Amino acid sequence: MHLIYKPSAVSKKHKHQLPAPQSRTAALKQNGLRAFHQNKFTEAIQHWQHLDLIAEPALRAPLAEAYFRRALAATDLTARLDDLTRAIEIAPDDGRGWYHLGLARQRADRVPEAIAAYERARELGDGRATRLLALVQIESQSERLLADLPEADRIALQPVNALLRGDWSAVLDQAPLPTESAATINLWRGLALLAQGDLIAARDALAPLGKALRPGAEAVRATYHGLALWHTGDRAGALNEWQTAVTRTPAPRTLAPRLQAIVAAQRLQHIRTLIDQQQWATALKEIEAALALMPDQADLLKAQLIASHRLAQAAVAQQQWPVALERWQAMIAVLEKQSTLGVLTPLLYNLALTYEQNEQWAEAADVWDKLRGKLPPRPSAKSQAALQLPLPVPEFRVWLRKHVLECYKHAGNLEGAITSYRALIKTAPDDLDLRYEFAEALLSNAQDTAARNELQRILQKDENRTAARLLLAEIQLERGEMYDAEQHVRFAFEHDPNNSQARQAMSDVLAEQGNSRFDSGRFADAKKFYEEALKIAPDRAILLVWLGNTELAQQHRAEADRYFDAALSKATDLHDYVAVFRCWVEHDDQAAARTIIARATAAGFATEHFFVDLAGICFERSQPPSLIPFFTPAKKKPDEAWSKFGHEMLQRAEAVATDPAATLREIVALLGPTQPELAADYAQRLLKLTPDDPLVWLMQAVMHMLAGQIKQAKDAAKQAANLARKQNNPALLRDIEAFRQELNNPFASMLGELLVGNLDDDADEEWFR
Amino acid sequence: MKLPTLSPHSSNDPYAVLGIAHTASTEEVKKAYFALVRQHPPEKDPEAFKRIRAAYEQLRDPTQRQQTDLLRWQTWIEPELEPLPTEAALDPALAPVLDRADVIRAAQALSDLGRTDFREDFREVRV
Repeated sequence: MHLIYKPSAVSKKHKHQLPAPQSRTAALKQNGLRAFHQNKFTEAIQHWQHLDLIAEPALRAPLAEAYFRRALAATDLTARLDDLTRAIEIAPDDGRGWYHLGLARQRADRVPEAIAAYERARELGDGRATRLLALVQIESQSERLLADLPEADRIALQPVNALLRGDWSAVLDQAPLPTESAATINLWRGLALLAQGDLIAARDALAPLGKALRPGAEAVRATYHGLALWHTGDRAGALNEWQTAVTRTPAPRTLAPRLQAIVAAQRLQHIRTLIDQQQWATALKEIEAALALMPDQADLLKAQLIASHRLAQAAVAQQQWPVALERWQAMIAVLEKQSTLGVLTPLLYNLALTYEQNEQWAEAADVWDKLRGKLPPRPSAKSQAALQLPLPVPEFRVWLRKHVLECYKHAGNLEGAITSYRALIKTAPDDLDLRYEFAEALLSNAQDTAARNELQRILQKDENRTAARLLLAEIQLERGEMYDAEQHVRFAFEHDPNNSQARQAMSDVLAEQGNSRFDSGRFADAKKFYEEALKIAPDRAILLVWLGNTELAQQHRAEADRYFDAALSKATDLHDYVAVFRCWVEHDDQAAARTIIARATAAGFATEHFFVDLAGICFERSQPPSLIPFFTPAKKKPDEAWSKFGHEMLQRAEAVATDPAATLREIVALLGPTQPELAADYAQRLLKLTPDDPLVWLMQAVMHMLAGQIKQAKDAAKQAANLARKQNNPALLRDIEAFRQELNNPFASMLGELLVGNLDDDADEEWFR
Repeated sequence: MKLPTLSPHSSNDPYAVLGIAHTASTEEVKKAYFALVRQHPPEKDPEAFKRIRAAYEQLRDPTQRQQTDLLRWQTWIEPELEPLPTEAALDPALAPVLDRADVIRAAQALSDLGRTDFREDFREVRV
């Protein structure tokens, strides 16, 4: 129907711009003809199919011819069948079209339909169809037609017929057609000789004669010549011939079952040798070549999985993430087709982790999501074990949802996560866990009000949702709604006293009350709150530290010692040691402070970070920072003893530093706001370690600026800009240039102070890393 | 053939660094850490200490440990390769007998089914 040209609706206004119908028809005809002669059959069809075939009957033959030629040029069998079908629809009396349709159908294993097409071709006078019809009948063991065939067809098909019936002598005795090639005659004779057991004669008859046979026939010859060679003792010759048989099997290269069995055994043996020698990359290449011939060979697929796995592991160990990604993906592709060869989930897991390592967060989120989709809704013990997950499915699902969110955050696509949560909630509005995660996502996206509303909705549906209540309290605390926050925490703790988060939050509330009493000098009240908090969270060493500090503030040294001792015996990280150290520094007791260092060293907490923290505390004690930046009255003289102690701590930090450059950066960031000149000295030393790092030059420039050394700051910033330019880092270069402009600002040193003062924040730390 | 499965990250695996099983209790983690710190004090062996410390940091807190466990590379059990076929197993394929399907395959390849060039079938067109 689409052959009939239907003029499109056009406005009167534009009608005059179109060619007259007659000239348009002529143009289409001529353009089509031009394309046809250039072998652009698709283009020719496009032109001609717009014309009305009823009005233009002479166009039927060219259009059919265009389809016919496009069909014969097609490598895709389906496309060829479609075009031939179209050709005979347009020109149903074209025997040639039917004949080729028969060939295409037979190639597609649609034999009954092929026979119908051949019969129609024969009716229409295409004599070639007779031989193909006879061949189909011979294949189905019917001899009826052979005698009725024209002589040429009968003689040509006789050897095939005889071989299929086991009549070897008929092949060997028959006089060949004068038109038959020597290679064809030898093939039939060789096969008959081999079948009757005369292997030496078969070997000679089947020996190659150049490329005289068509590929498919050549593959059969080489296969059987290989067999004859094998059985007459020439195994190397046989292997060569089987290789020839593989290469001469026409595309799509589907090997004959016999050949496939032989080649698979041969290839597998070689591959196994490579695997035994741990030559994974070479093995994989061989496997992939073999799989191109035998795509479903189970042992090859297993070998492919093993080699890929080893290569993925090696790539991960060497942090070659793109290589690892490629391998995990290849393995997943295999298992998605052949699930019996292994468990998919650990591979998806590793693929997602590799994406994360390669900082492809969006891709990681997609893979985690895919993994989530593989989890059964109600896992049995058996399905849980089969998945090989690190957590039971329900817990894993919760973790996974959160982790996907993290990935979205890294990818800067929290909106994507929120959209997906909204869709999930629509399908399961009563899933309060899901709603809670949605609230977390909103919070991560700085939508505090929406998060608070969502959490309140959860609590309306179930007031015992402790996590939701605590998160709501956290939001309220952030907004300064202290009373409401405390009420929620108390409710959560009273209703769910065994919930560790509720206990922690309750102890935080009590500790905060204690701190506020301590700050106003009400030590006895402070102690009561700390003790109450400790009852709830007895493992929190920091509460013992604060209790000790309360005693110290009241000059109860022995009690303080006992609390500190108890705190440090519970301490699980260096911060508790740092906290006790701070208490002694505030109490101006260097000897006691040193005992804490000794104890931390014995416990294995005396890292470079520990000493840098201690140095910071000492310098603070030596010269407390101004509470109002920029507008500080004249600074009082530093306390030399604590200043000296601070320097000693810096030396010790450098002595134990495992990454000297990182430690120097930490020291520069520590000293910058209060002692910029000293910080500039450390930055100078850092530059000696990393002279080509533009960020370190920038850091040096900031330190000079803070010290009021504007000229040196400009020089260092210029050097930073040169290096960033040289290293093709435009983002950093933009930052540096912005900083250089700021250097001309009369308040430059204040800006620098702001910059360095925020170095503890992750974002700025990242900038300096 | 059974191939050994490798742990790709043994050098980064906190359990491997502390020499403990993945099922080790918190107490066992702590014990292993302190024993290793005594062997590798930071002043004498800072590199080793750094690794030990980092491993302990990942495992000492249950939440952190769970996170560590969840972000560990997963072990994938490789399939076992079947034993290579013996020559006897290949006997059917190597037997010098004629396969009907191969005769048909050759006959088809020698017929028009094996041809690709049919230029003589093309016709001139006129419009």
